[in-house]
Amino acid sequence: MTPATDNMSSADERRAALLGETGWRARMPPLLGPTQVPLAAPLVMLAIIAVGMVLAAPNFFAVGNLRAIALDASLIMLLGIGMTAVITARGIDLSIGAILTLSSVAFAAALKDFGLPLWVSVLVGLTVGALCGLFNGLLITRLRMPDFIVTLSSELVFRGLALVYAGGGVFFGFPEVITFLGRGRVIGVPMPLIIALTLVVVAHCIFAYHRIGMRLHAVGGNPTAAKRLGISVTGYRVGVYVFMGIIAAIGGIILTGRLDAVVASGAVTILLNTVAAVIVGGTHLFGGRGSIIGTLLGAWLLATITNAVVMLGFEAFWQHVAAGAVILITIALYSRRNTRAEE
Amino acid sequence: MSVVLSGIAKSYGAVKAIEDIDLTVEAGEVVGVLGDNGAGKSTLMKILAGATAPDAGTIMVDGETYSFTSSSAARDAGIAMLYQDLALCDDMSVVHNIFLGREITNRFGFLRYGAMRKRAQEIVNSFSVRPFDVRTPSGHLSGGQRQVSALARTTAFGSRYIILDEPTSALSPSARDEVLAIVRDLADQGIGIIMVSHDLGHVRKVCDRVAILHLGRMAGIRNMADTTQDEIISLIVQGHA
Repeated sequence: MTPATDNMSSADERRAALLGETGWRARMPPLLGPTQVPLAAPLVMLAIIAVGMVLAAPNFFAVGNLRAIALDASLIMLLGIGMTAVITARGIDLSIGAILTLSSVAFAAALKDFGLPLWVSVLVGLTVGALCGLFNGLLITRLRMPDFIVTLSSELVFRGLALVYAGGGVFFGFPEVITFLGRGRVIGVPMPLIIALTLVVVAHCIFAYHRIGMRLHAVGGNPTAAKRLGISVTGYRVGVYVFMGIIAAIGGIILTGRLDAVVASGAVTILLNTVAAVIVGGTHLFGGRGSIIGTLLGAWLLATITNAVVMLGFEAFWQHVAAGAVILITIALYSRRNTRAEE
Repeated sequence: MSVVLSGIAKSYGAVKAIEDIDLTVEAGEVVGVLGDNGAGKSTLMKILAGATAPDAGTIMVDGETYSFTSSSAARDAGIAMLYQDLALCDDMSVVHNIFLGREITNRFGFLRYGAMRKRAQEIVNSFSVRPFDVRTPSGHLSGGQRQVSALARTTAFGSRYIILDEPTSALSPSARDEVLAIVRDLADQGIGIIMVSHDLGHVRKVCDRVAILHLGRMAGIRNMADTTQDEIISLIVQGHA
């Protein structure tokens, strides 16, 4: 090698090192996926609450209480997976509570009223969830109606259908397999948490490291660019609503197992908690930037706050005040960060 | 090796956007497309990029006739377009933007990030500009770096012809010079460039030939070395010299 090429190679190496192009770090994809999502806010909030509770109510960290938090967080976490996908693709689904209820009623009706085998009844529930999502997705993309209006209306339609069929009645007494999904434990860990965390891991891998996740971020971030690059924006937008519908149906089956009952007028507050968890977890409300891990933290934070309020001996109504305050503080932090970045 | 447009026409309802347009772009040359607002430049470029189908006429790329039904079809034929808005996703890194729609994956569709990043950095470094980290989100880049990122995307997959729509608009003077130098570099590498611009100075700086449209018709095609600024302006404004 001549001195000249020696110099060149050393300059190239310096530049490569400067840009972080060498070693295993060069091959590692960004941990959270194609977009940078700020996770500091929910992490700091969780840390503050944890420290506060160590001082104020040490039994907050008792295994039983942590299990209760996990149980509360798991349903929000599960629904948050679907909602993260929808919001990242620049949408919003306000009908998840109704989809969850209608698919649970369909599952219960298939099992109890029509006497279908359990696995077929589960399939009926999941199919109804998927069809509800397809209904939303097609109205939004084909008729170009706003997501907000479509899903607000379909919330009424789906819940109305559930109430019409159930007639105000309650389905109860489900097979042990279903109650195990909602109440069971494996080595002390609640089943809903195991299901939610499993789906979180799978969804995160797709969302952050798969072609589908990358394109989903683009569909929400710059739909015009995505379309020009040959990505089916309509396909992805319909797809996320169908996915949300299926996730809501899974949530419905888990909730059915937990309550050992299906009530057509239930799951009313689940929407706000889910959207709050997604936004607190750093997903951008107007699309293009999202994180499943952030949603996990958001769900855990909301469940922790609710639990902490009870542990501190406040009336249950203060849960709403505390949760709302944390959401506002987190959003304020994100807005400040975004404003600084724009400046 | 060339792109040959023959008898291209396109109407929107009763309005004839372009009519009977003939244009040839050889590999390795830069052809500027000039014209007043409404002259038909955008329509012509969209047709060549596969974003709009012509009502009449043919497009030949390297001797083969095509009728593009989508941008992907045009890209597969070797024609890529760099839009004025650059079509970047600001929250995504340069790596992700460059490979969006043509990701390098394993057989299960999972991204081969290391390979994508290495290739993206090589392409960006190959341009005669100060290298920047391709992991940076596009929204955090300067105007010139954003333009380079978008150019990198158009050249990453072996495009033989590139359409540039106002590539120097909204750039600082130094970034403009960088981008124009890149355009010339690409042509020297054998890529045929069609550059739509309002800036006559930039066109004169990098283009070998210039095609001037007037009210949807081809007013004239001139070699840059054989024409004058006055003649070009007359063709733009009046449709004749």
